[in-house]
Amino acid sequence: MTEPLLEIVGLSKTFVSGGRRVAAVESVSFDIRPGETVGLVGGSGSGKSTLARLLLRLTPPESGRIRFEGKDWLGLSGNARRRARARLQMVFQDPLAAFNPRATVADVLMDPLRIHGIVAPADRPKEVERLLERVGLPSALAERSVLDVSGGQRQRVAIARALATRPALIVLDEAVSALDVSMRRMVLELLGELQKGSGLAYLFISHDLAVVRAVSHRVLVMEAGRIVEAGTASRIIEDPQSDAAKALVKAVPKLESENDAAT
Amino acid sequence: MTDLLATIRRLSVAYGDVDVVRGLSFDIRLGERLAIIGESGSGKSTFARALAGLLPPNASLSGEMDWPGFGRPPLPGRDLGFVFQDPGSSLNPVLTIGEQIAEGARRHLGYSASEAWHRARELAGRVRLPQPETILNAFPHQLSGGQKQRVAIAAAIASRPRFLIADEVTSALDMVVQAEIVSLLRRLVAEDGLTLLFITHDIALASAFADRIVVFRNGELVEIGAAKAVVSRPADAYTAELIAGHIDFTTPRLVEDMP
Amino acid sequence: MSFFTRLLRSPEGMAGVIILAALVLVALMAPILFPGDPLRIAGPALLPPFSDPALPLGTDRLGRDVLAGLMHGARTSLTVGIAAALMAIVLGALVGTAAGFAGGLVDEALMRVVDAFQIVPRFLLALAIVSVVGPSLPLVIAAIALGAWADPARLTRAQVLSIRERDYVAAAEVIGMHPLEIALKQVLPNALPPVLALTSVIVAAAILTEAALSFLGLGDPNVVTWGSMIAEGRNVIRSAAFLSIAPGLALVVTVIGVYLFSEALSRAIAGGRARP
Repeated sequence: MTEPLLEIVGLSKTFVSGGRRVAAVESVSFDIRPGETVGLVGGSGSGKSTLARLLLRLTPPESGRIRFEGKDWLGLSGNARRRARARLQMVFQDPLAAFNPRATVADVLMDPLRIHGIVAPADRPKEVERLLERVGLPSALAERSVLDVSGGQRQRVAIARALATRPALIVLDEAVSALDVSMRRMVLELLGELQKGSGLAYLFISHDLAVVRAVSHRVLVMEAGRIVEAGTASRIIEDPQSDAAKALVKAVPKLESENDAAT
Repeated sequence: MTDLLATIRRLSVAYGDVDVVRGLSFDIRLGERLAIIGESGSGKSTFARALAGLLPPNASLSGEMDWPGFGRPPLPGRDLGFVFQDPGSSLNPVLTIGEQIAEGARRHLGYSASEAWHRARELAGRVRLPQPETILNAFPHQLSGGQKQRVAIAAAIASRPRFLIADEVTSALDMVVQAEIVSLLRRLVAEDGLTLLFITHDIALASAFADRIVVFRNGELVEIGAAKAVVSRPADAYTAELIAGHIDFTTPRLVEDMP
Repeated sequence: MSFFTRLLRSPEGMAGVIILAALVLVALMAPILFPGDPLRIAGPALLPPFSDPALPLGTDRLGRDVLAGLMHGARTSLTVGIAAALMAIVLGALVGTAAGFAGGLVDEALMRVVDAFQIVPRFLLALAIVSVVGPSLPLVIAAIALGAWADPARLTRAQVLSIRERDYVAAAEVIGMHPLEIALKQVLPNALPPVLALTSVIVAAAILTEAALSFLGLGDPNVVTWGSMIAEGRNVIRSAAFLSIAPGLALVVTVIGVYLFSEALSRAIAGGRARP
């Protein structure tokens, strides 16, 4: 039995902001194995984005342990933490906001290469080309400003950036939610291909259970900061136990064609 | 012959030399739920704003919009209600919910302050806002995204308009809340006999909810027809692509279960 | 459309750039066209303008060349204006950035200092400093800068606080970028443009403050400035009003030019990111 790539035990975070209590994370525990995609699904306010931020150490938890690649992930600090970050990357929801508006595509991809010394300085431009190719983008895109690239292309650049440091796990936080329908399929298929090649693991966060089903080996359902249900996508959809899961199943719009019974 | 609310002929909108909407021609029928489907850049929001008279001053409009349903161009706010995509920016952060819902009734129906307050209270109940009595004194930032959108809908129908335009009103909301808002719209439209123009990028959402579907692409009308017919037998290849791109529980999976 | 094209596109922008360019040209050319000390006696006293081609704008009470005075005065005004604005912006940006990143007590403490400098009326502050320490050009520049740095500090801090929350800053952290690099390469370049747009306004204010100080006799007595020329001309205002009006007009044109330029600059900076 392979050791899990990621082990989260009892992770918790609360915060109060302005008039409203923002989604907390309460005693969340789960594993991710190498090469697997775990889908995390929940409505807004369920705490799934907070969980992503905790995992990426963008905010400190109040309690809990994270073991990543056998090491105490929360215990790392300073340079050691920065170096270790190469193995755990993230793709954000809004492809426009995820890039410095003054950057070119090449700048965006060079940063991680430079910071982690992935290749020698002279080889970086070639590596940028290789990364672009891997996500199905023409190398001519490298000189363009990130503002001059379409939404779907931008998200693929974001994936290329995440891949640059040769990570073991990528967290995708609503990574396809802001994309057009035609782009969505393409990006999901790309993610699948990348995983097959390399044993990359994903934590795929979304509020859309249908998309989660399409890409996940296992699914976790989150509500009000807790994991309320876990299992395979098929089981959860066929036989949802928690209220949250039931609501998520009902919420997916189905294409109603003429063959369906009249509404 | 169905009664028409509006007829649009060769409508075009351009910003400088960029054409955003090109030569649109179709009718909006009285009492129907018409969905406009399109991806980003298709011109659907620009078209909605053109209908509502909300285009910025630098936009140039050509073509005709006739309104047989009103007999005259619609007065925004009075004949026509508009609900925007982002409730975070469509609601005024310094006014209470009650003031914002009541405004339409005060301005267009000439209600007094207390009449308008009662109307707001009634609408807050109709859109199923929690604790309608007290929520009227709350401010937008105290509400969730779904609640804010309910407020925006209530404000849009406060002056009893006959035509409601909902521009991607669920796109910023999660799936569960989206379903709730759609069912709310369905109920309100049926109860008040409104004509609804529902703009979305989600063709499945439209097929379950709309009577007719219009597909936009790059500012042009690509297909129009009864919702279920368009979904079952799309006439245009682009429509077929949009349908194929939809992901639901019957879509083939990219990975298999691994418990 | 490139930044410079946008800048020149509007009539205001074009006018502002032309005026400022003319001013810079005048300032640079002054020692070439009018070598020597502009405060020396150049001809008979109170010569009317346009009467002697060698002294196109006439002379003042002491026979000093008015045109030479105007042109050298441009040097002083521009030097003071630009130097004071630069000092104010650099100081303000440093304090604002430190406050925005540090947060907590450091932020609070720095902001109270900023408050103090914002409350004191700028001109009186400059006046007080110059009267106490003594008039010299560097001191005048420093005194004006001390009155002007609080606004850029506040604006920089607000920008830093807002940009820190953006996804691309989080993304930089996620890829393992060092916090210093994040501050200097991700946050600051995006935080500064609105602050830089303030520069023009500060330059205009600095030029006027300097003119007022030298009008009151508190400027550097060894340099000719438009303010001192106006003060000089006050003595013969009934017979030779031109001596005060000319430098006054120069000030007006300069300030208008700076304001037009700053309008166009703000629009050019904003226009680069606006999307239809």
